[in-house]
Amino acid sequence: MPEKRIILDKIEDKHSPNIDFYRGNGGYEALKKALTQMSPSQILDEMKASNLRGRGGAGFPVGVKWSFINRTFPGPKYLICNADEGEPGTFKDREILQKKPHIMIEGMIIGAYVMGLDAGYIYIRGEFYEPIQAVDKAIREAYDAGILGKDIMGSGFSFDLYTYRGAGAYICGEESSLINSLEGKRGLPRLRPPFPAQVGLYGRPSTVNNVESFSAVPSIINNGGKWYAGLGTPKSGGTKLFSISGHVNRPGVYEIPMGTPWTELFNDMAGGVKDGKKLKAVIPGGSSTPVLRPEELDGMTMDYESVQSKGSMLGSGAVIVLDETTDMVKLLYRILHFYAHESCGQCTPCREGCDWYYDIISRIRHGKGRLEDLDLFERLAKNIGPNTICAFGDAFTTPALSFTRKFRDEFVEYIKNGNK
Amino acid sequence: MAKITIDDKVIEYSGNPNLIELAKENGIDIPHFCYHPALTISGNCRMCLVEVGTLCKNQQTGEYEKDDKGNIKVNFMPKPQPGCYQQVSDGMVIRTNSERIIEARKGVLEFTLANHPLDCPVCDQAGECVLQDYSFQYGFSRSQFIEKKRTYKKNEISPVLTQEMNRCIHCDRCARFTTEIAGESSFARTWRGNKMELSVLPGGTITHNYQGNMADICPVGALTITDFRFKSRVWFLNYGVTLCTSCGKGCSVMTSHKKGKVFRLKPVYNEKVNTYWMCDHGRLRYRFLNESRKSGHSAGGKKANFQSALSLAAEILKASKNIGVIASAKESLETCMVLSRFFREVAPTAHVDYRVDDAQVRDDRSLRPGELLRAKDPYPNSFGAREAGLLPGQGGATAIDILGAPEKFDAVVLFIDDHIIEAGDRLGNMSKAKNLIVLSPFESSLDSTAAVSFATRAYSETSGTYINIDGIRQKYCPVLPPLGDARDSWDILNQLSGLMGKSFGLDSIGKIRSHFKLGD
Ligand SMILES: Cc1cc2nc3c(=O)[nH]c(=O)nc-3n(C[C@H](O)[C@H](O)[C@H](O)COP(=O)(O)O)c2cc1C
Ligand code: SF4
Ligand code: FES
Repeated sequence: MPEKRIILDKIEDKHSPNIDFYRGNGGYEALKKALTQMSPSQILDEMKASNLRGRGGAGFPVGVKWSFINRTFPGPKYLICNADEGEPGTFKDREILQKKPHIMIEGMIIGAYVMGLDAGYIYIRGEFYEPIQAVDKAIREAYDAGILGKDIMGSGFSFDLYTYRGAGAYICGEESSLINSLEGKRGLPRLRPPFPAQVGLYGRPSTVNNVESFSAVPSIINNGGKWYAGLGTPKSGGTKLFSISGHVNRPGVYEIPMGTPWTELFNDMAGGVKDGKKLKAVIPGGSSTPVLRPEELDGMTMDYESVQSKGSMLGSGAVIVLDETTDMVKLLYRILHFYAHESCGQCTPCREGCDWYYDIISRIRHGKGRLEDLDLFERLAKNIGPNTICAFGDAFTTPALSFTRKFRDEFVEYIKNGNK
Repeated sequence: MAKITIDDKVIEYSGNPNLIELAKENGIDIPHFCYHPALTISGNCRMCLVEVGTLCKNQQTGEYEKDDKGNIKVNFMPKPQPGCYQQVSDGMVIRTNSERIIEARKGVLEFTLANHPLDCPVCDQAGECVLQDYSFQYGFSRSQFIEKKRTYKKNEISPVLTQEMNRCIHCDRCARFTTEIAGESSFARTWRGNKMELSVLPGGTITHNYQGNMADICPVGALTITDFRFKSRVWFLNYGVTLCTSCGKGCSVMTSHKKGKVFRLKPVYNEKVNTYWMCDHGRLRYRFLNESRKSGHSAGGKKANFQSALSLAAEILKASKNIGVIASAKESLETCMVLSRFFREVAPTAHVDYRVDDAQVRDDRSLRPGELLRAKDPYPNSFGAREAGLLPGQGGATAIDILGAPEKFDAVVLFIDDHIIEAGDRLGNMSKAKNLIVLSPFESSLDSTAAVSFATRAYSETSGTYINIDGIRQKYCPVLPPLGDARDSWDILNQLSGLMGKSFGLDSIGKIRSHFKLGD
C-alpha cells in the first residue's frame, strides 16, 4: 500500500493554503453538500458509518462524540478544535494548519452544522507562529467568501470561528484544561463528569476534536461513511497521518490507510534506519505510549487494534524510531524531564510522582541509582495512574515502566557501573 | 426514600447530599484534605478516594442480577473515585475501607508526605494537623523517598499569616477561600507542577479581614496565625465555646486558654450567624481579656471590700436626685433588664443611655462596607440594650451628653468596657464627675477619682444572652473562672435594690430570665 493522501492531497503545491486553490480542487463542496442536501442526522449517520476515530490520541469515535450534543439545548454551544499538538514526537497537525487550513475549517463548519453549534475556537499551540498566521488568513478568506459568518452559502446556517493561542503548556492539550485555558483560567484539567458535551466552554455544551479529526470530515461527506471506513480496518476507518521521526532516512508526515503494514511505513516511506544502523526500538504513538522492541513489530499494522495487540498504543501517530546507538537511560531521563516540567500540579499523585520519577531517573543516569529504584517505579505507578484527575499520570509512568521492563539490562548497567 | 450502602451500612437519604457529609452523619469518616463544605469542590488531594459501585440490573428483564449466594451483584468502577465529588444516587454502593482503598490511600499519603518536611516538632499546627492524624492512621511508617526535598523561598504574605510553603500540600483551600468567600483575587496558585506555590499574586496584597480563616482551614501548618506562633503547644490549652463580642454580629468562637489567659479565638460553626468563619478584627481582640483586668473593688481610690463598696454606692444613689447612667451594650440582656428596672424603680432617672458609639446612635445594624461578617456597631448587644429600654426618658440626657458634661449630674453610673477604653478620649471629661460609680472588668485611671469602683466579670467569665444585629438571640456560658471578687453587674444591681429598700430578689440568672420572660 502506498501513501494515500486525502487530507494532505496537493500539499506539495505552494498554493495549497489558499482558498482559491482549495476550492479549485473541490474544496468546500462537501460543506455545500452538507448544508444543502443533507440533514444533520444523515451526516451523523455517515460519520458513525465512517469509523473515524479521534486523532488526538484517545481514538474515540467522532460520530459518537458528535451525537452527545443535544442540538436543541437552548443557548450558545461551542466547537473547539484542539491544535495544541504537544505530545513529543507529534507534528502532523502542524502540516494541516500550515498547508491545508481550509480542510480543517470545512470539517469544523460541517461539525457545527451537525451539532447546531454557534461558534468555534481553534486553540493553537503558542509556538506555532506560522501555522497561526496561515489559519488566521484562511479564516479571513472564508469570511470573505461567505463560508464563515452569517448565512453560510445562503443556507441560513451561521457560524463564527476564532483562533486562540496557547501559552506553551502541554497539559493545555488535554481537553478540559484547554477549555479552562480558553476561558482565561489556569490550564488545569477539570473533574468529570460533567463532560464537555454537557458543561464545556463557558459552562455551555461543547465538542472538542483534534485538527486531523476535523480534516477527515469533508472526504466522508463527499464519498460517504462506508467508503471512508473501507479505506481502513474494521475498527479503524480511513487514513491516518503519521509523523515519523528519529533515526530514519526520511522523517516526516505520511498519510496512509489504517492497517498499512508497519514495514511499509518504516521501510518504503521513511526509508528505514539511517546510516545502515540496526533498529533498537520504536515508540509508536508519541512519548507517552509504551516502547516496542523490534521483535514486537513483527506483523504489526498501523491501526488502533494492531498496535494495541502489541502492547502499545497508536496514540497521536507519532512514531519515534530509535537505532542501536540510542541510550535508553538518557532517553527516559529526557522524557521524564519533559513530563515533570509539564504536570499541571493540581493532583497529589501526579504533582509529587512525576518529580519523584525524574529524581530517580536522574540518579540512575548520573550513576547513583539502586536496583530497588526499578521496583520503586513499579510500586509507585500503581498509585499514580488510577488515582489522578487526568491521563497525565499514565502518560509518564507508562514510558518509565516500558523502558525499564524492556531494556532492563541497560538500566542495571548504569546502576552497577555508572554512566560511562 | 433513596438508599445507598456505605461499607455494608444501608443509609437512607433525601435530596442531593455530598458523600463525605452523608458518610460523616452516619459515623463513617472519609479522610480528606481539599474538600471543605463551604468551598467549591476541587478534587485535587485524592485523599478521599472510595470505590463506587452500582447494582447490576439485567437489561432485558429489569431485574437485579444475583450471585450464587443470592446477593445482588455490584459493578464497581475500574478506578477509585474521589468521595468529595460523588453524585450520590439511589442504590449506589460505596466502599471506604476495602483493601484497594486502603492501598490507594496509603499511596496518596506517600505522595503527600514525599516532599513534606516532617518538621512537626517546630510546627504550630502539630496536634491539630490533619496530615499528622492521617499519617498516623493510614500512612506508612517509613518513607522510600530518598531524594532531596522540595524547598521554597520564604515569602511574607501578610501580617496576620505566616506562610511556610515547604509544608504546603497544595489543597488550594486557602486560595478558594480568598476568591469564593473573601471575594478577593489576591492569593492563588502560581507556577506549575511540582513547583506550584500558593502565593500573593504579583502586584497584589491580601487586604481582607478574614485571613485567619485561611489558617484555620489549612489542613497542615503551611498557614498559621502569626499572633499565635510559638506561644503554646495546642495540647496544653483548654477550650471553651462562647461568642465574639467585638461587633454586633456575635460570631460563635472557641477560646483556647491556659492559666486564666486566652491565647487565641477560633470560629465555631454557627449556621445562623457566622457559619465557619470569623473576622481577623474579632479574632485578634481576645487580648483585652488578658490585659489590665480588675479583680477587686475600690472606693475613693482605695481598695474596698464588696459590702462596703455596695453600701457606699447605695448611699450615693439614695442621696442623688439627678443621676446620669452610661450603660454598656457589652453587658448581657439579663443585666440590661435589671439595670433598666433599677433606674426606673429604685433610683428613678431619665438620663439612661447605652449608645456611646455613632452606629448605636443611628441604630445602624448593617455590616461595614465590603465585609462578610463585621458589623458597623462595635457592640454585641445593642439590640438587647434597646429591647431592655436603656434609652433616655422624657428630657433625659444621652450618653454622649453625659460624657461631654458629667459634672452636671449629682452622680454618674458608668460602665467601662473594652470598646470605650479603646476608643480613647471618650472618657476624657469623666474625672470631673461628682459621685462617680464605675462598673468594669478593667482597671482605668478613673478608679482613683471614682467614689466607688466595682470589679465586674468579663463576658468570658459569666453567662448571658446577646441579641445580634439580625435580632438573633444567642446565649453564652463562662469559659473561664471569674477573677478575684469580680461580680456580675446584675448581681451588684440586685444587691443594691435590696439595700435601697426595694429588693428585686433576682439573685440568679435563671430568676432574671423567668422574671423578664427571656426564656430558659
Ligand atoms: C495530557 C494530555 C495531553 C493531550 N494533548 C493533546 C493534544 O496536544 N492535541 C490533541 O488533539 N489532543 C490532546 N489530548 C487529547 C484531548 O484530551 C482530547 O481527547 C482530544 O482533543 C479529543 O479530540 P479527538 O476525539 O478528535 O481525538 C491530550 C490528552 C491528555 C490527557
Ligand atoms: S494528573 Fe497531573 S496533569 Fe492531570 S490533573 Fe493531576 S496533576 Fe494535573
Ligand atoms: S477531598 Fe476529595 S480530592 Fe481532596
